[in-house]
Parts: sequence; C-alpha cells; structure tokens
Amino acid sequence: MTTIRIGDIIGNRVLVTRTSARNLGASVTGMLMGPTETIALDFKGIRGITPSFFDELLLSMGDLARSQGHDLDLRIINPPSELSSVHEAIGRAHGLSILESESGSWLVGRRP
Amino acid sequence: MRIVARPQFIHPGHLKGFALPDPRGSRYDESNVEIDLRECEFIGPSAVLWCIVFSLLAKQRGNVCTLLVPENMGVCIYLKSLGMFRLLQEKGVEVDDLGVPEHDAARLIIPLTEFETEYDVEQAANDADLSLMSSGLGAANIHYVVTNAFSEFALNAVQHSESKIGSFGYLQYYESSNGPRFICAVADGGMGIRRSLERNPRLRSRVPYDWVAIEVALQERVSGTQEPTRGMGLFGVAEEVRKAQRQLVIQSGIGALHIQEDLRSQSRRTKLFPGTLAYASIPC
Repeated sequence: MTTIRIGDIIGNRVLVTRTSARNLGASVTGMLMGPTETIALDFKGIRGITPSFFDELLLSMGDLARSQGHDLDLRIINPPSELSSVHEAIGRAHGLSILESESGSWLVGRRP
Repeated sequence: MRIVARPQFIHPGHLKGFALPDPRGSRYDESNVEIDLRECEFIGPSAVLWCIVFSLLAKQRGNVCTLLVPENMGVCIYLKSLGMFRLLQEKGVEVDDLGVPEHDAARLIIPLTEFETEYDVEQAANDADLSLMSSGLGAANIHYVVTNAFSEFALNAVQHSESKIGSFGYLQYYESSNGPRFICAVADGGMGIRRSLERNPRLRSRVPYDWVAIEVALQERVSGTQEPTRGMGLFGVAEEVRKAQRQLVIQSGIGALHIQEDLRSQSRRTKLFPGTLAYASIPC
C-alpha cells in the first residue's frame, strides 16, 4: 500500500473544485513509483472537501486504477468529516461502496 | 421606474406592486431605475442580494440606477458594514450614504465578495474557514457545514449561471430570535435554474416552472450537464439542512423553495429574482 499525505501536495485546507481534485489525481499519479493495488490518501490537516471535489477525486483515482489494470482500492485516512449519505451516493454513481473502518478511515472499492 | 420595498423586506415578494420587469430580458425597456428602501426597518439576506443583482443588471442594460437608502440609521449602518453600498457605488449605482458611519454591525465572516471563477470560490472558502476558526464562534463540525454550503452555492453560480454581472456572496454570524446562527448567501444574475436544467434534454419536460425546477435541482444526480456523475452539490446541501433547525432558501426566476427540519420542503411562486439566490441559515 502506498500512502500519500494530501497536505504535502496541496496548500489549501478546504478543497472545493473539480480542478483541485484533478490536479491532486495527477500529482498522486506522478508520485507513485510503480503499479500499486492499494492507495491511501491521508487527509490530515484538511478541514473540508465539497461533494464536487470528492466526486472528481473518485473519477480521477478510478482512472488511475484502471490504467494499472485493476479496480479501485482506495483508503481515505483522517477524512475531514464523518461519512455521510452524500458521500455514499457519490460512491454509488461510480459503482463504488464506501465503508467506514473502526479507525474512522474510509474504505473505497468496487461494489460486490 | 421606481421599485418600493415594504418595511419588512425579507425577500422580493415583499416589494410593492404586482410584477417586476426582467432586466435580463429582450423586452426590458426601462431607462431609469430607483430602488426605494427608505421605509425599510428590516432587510433580509435575500432582499440584500436582490437589490444588488437587480441594480447591477439594470446598470448593465445602460440604465441610470439609484438606491434610495433606508431612513432607519441602524439598517443603513448594517447595509454599509455588509459592503453593499461600497460595492454598488464601485459599479456605478448611485447610493447616497451621507452621514452613515462605518461600524462593524454585520459581524461578517466573509464580506460581500464577487466571484467570477472556481479559483475565487476556493479562495473564499479557505478564507471563510480561517475566519471561522479565528472567530471562536461555533463548533468545528458546524464550520464544515457552513463552508460546504457556501462553497457549493458559489460553485453553482460561477459554473452554471453565465451571469453577466458575476456572482456575489457573504457569510455572517447573526444573533436571531432563534439563537446565534451562521448565514451564508450567494446570488447571481444569470439564466436561472430552469434554463440551466433545460439544457439537458432529459430534464426539459420535467421543469415547466421555476418552482418545479428548483425542486428537481435538489434531487440526487440532477444537472444541466449531461455528465452522469454531476449534480451532487445542491443535493448534498439540501440533505445537510434537513436537520438541527437549519434552513435553506432558494429563489430563481419566479420560483422559491424553503427547506427546514420541521417543514421539510415547500415551493411557491413569488416575485422575480432575476437570476438565482441560495441562502442557508445554520445554528452555531
């Protein structure tokens, strides 16, 4: 598993736009040293993400996983909010399920 | 043309007269506009943003445009501290605020701000977050809700409205009779929600009126774009305000929708808002 700290890449603490999500996706792609099944994005220090940002992030990370020949297996560590019905609905539109682990991380993957 | 507001001017429905001309429309033929607030004893966020949007659209059509300020000094001070007079004066609207002192009456988190791009919105959202943190007002989880609502309103305005006058919004702490609240309000002078949704052929027959279009826009995955993953922003805000004594008001064209915990959702026909306004009231 490769872990990437979002706060090291992005200066803002509230992430709003689809453009920011696409830029983040491009940065993550550039930071990977090679194919990886599981990516963990650590949102420590990030204080907010909008539905638009989250939607585009899933799109971007899904494209990355497909380019490596597998389904998306994403962990979101230190998410800036509780998992809500809105996040779950965004995941559903991408064919993804989002589960909250005991530690509070979000586990994002292909729906069974 | 003179448009006169009632003493309790909460939204455009409280303007005197039967109907308003649409300064965005081809049949608009006014040359002078006076917005008369002299009798106003109270002005709500929707009314503030209606004054700005209508004035600037009229100005953009080449009208001589004047705002007659309230005789009530407290209301005048409030509007001046909000930044309303300064913004209108800078855009060429005549506002005589002689003798109205500068005073921090509005308790602003984000002053009246103009947005043109997504970058402007992200910047304002981060400024709002810093300001909320340093204000000591409200809990961190409420800050998240407030910033999120503000961001989504502003994003919708810059992405979908095609407003020729830009988009405007502010974020404020307000001690109402129901307790302390955060107020966030954003408006534009663009095409409105119905026209935006009509761009999507699959939605065209579902939005015959402005008030229906607002209801449809709050549903999951509804967007004027035909991209299947879009249309979550307003849905998300609507889900968040259906709890904890929060309120959401959206006005677009001649439609309005009001959502609060006990009311759930109520749409109605109202007087024209020439664009779209979104307003959330969130207890601290």
